[in-house]
Amino acid sequence: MDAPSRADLTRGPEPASPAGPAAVDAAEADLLARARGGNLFAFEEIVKRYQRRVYATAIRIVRRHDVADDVVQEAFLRAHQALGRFDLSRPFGPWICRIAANLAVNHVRSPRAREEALPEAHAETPAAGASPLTGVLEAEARLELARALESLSAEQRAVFALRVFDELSYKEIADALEISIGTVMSRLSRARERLRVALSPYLGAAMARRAEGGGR
Amino acid sequence: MSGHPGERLSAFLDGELPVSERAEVAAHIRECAECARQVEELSAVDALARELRVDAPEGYFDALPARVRARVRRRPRLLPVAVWAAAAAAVLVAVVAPLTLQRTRSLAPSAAERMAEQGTAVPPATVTSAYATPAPAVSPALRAAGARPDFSLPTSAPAEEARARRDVPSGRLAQRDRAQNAMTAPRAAPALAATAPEPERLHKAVEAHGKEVAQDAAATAPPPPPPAAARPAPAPDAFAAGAAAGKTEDEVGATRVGSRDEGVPAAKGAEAARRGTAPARERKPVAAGRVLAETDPAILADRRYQALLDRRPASVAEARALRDGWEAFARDRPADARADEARVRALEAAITAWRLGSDPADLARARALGRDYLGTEDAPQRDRVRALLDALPPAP
Repeated sequence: MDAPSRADLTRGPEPASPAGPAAVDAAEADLLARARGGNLFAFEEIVKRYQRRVYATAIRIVRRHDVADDVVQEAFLRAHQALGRFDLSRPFGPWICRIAANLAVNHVRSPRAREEALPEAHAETPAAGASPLTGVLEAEARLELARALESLSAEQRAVFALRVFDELSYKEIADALEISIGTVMSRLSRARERLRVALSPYLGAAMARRAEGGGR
Repeated sequence: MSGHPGERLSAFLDGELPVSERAEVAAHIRECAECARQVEELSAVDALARELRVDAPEGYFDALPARVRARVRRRPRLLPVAVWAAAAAAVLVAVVAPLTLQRTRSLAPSAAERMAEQGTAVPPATVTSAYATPAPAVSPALRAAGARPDFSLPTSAPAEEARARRDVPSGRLAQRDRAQNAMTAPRAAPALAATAPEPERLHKAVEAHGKEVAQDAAATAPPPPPPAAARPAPAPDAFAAGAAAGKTEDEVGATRVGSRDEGVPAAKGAEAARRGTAPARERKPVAAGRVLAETDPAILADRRYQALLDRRPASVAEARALRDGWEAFARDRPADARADEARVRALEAAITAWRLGSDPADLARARALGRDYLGTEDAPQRDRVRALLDALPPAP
């Protein structure tokens, strides 16, 4: 059982609306319009909806909470500043996640950040498995994955995170990180290959589990 | 297609291959067990990654929205300060020299007034000419006011120091000078007392953001003929007292004036002088356009931090100013990853100030900074701070 104090970021934007995606979009567009008009409380609501997702994007790249905190705040600040130019018909989430990813990568690139980097910081933690038998193996696999992610460069983590977690297209990733689509493709491929090789011993079990019942 | 798709498997997985290539790779995978397995594994890696939890400290998301809101609310005020600071820094190079003369003429009366108050008879013309021409016109006044005739010329001092002595002093000096007239020995240097009233904001802004940039600017500013004799400003009583008061901007000016007695280079005076000579209010429209190109707070913060890092204080005033600069950074950007380092560096600068000037107030300030740091929960650099404090004399 995970400690209740942890904030699970694997869920999408919160709070979830029971009325369905269309209603959420309308409510969100209203919030954004009001935030754009200067209503800070409306903007605060937007922050509440996206903070976990933005934080997840940031922490996966920068690997340290204090740095991710800075990136998250900065991302929301910039989004707020740019709200006037933002097309309200576009989804807000991917947009701010791109901002956050760009900030995160740039932050990790700064020489000072490299000095401060904690080599063993794990942004991710392994969650307990569903069944005791597979739990141990999966816990190890996740730990290994966390380590392998740690060993990637920030740029590689950024493309991987934006693709796998935020599900941005290559074009969107390219725009977010200000690189070419070709670079996205090769970086992502290399990142995935490293992870694949690192997890190879465990992947048999993982793949079998997926084949059995689609995991969780 | 001959051979394995290699890197394209990843793009294939994401559906990002062009249609024709996609068909090729799909066909290959059907035939090639190895590549088929790799695609499967890549997909499994994705799935496993998605299951990874990412945790934040307890209560983090409860507090974050309000923190963001507070920063958004503060934001509009940050820009003008940054614009001020950068505007000030940007224009200082261009305007120091001509401005010195211009300012002087308009200031001469007030300087003369002050001197009249102090019972020193100096005709305005004398003060004016102190800047336009070499110093002899002023030195008689100084001597009359009891100044020491032995003014060591800046032959061995750094170029900055020479320029400091030449430049018009800061407006803060003027204000303090007026305030401390009662304490001031008659030898308050007229040259240095003839100061430009200066926007308070400019001080703070320059200090906060543009100091070292301004210093570099001063270092490269073309030197007008130095009336070296006009420079020596032995008013240690007035300004040393002011220095002990603990106000940074005052200190800078005070120490600059009194530094010769203290034996500390007056390089910092260059900075104070430049502040005095730049009426940024007039120049703001000109420079603002250039400066507004960079309003990104993250980049400004990086520059600010780097600028602080680059400084090497060589005087008490510089060290105090650096201490305040680091403190301000940590205070302005508490969530910055570098804020902790800024706090420790503030302490180091405070200690440097004490070591350079032996002023007990600096020692007390350093101790206070150290205690505050150690009193912070989870302070990451306790050992480093303790070591710094241990090297100081024991507290009474």
